Amino acid sequence: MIRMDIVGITWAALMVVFTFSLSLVVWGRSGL
Amino acid sequence: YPIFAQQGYENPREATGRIVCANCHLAKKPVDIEVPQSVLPNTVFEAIVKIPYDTQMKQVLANGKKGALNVGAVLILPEGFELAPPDRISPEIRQKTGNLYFQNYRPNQKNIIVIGPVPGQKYSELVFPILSPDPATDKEAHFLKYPIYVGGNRGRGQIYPDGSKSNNTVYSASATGRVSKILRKEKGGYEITIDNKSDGGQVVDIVPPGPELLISEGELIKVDQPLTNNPNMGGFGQGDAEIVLQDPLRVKGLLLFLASVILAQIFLVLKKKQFEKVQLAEMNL
Repeated sequence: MIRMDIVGITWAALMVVFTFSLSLVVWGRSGL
Repeated sequence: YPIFAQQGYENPREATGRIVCANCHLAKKPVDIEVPQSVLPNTVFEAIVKIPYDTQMKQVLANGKKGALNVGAVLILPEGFELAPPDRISPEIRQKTGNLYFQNYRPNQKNIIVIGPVPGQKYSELVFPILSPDPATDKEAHFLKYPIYVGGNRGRGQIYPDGSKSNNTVYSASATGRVSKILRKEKGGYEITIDNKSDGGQVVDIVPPGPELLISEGELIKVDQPLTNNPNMGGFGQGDAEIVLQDPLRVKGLLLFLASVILAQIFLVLKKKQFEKVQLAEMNL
């Protein structure tokens, strides 16, 4: 079982922000 | 034994960074420590100390017979960190620690924990349950990055605290000359008589039971030449790790900041999309 405390959630959130930021660039520029 | 260090040294970590176990356990072998990157205040977490060795190995015991190796470890935590009280340890961690009896190095130094000797076959991985301090109640503790030092040993030592050799080390000749007599003692061990070359006298070197002889009668030997093999199988190693005592408020702040970054990015892209529509409309005029 994976147990997550707030620190784990924040690491996950940081990775999500990085990934999502890249996708927003792709969206904003309408492509790669 | 940890008790020798506890009796002899106020602080198990010398100013040079060497852990005092190395004064008796002369051989070097690796150890490893695993701790979380960061912990929240007043939380129980586990520090895993690994003391790897081939569990099939046998070492010489004090009576000269062969036996299994024991392991022991010392964990030097930052000020404020301590062994978790039994009622705070979760059943999960309790299962991992097993029936180990952890001890404070000194009754008033709760941040230094020693354990051992315990059977190495079962405990080559030691799990320490640790409680982090709370800066809200403990004014000495702060939200910082702290070093953790660990020393781990397997097998018997080579020297006793009084400086005498144990039978788990190599014995060497105390004089140059010819080995005139090797007397095997009843309880094991040898008395080796060397006819000293320089002054013509005789020197008797005593080898306790355990190490095996490398020389034979009549052989010419030099001073400090090893008379026996080195029966030692174990060794001591030390290492360190870093741990952050993390403030939950800071983490929540970071989460809020990350959320605002995502929102700002989304709105910027939306604005760009809207402006692109305006551009298209202007071109078609």
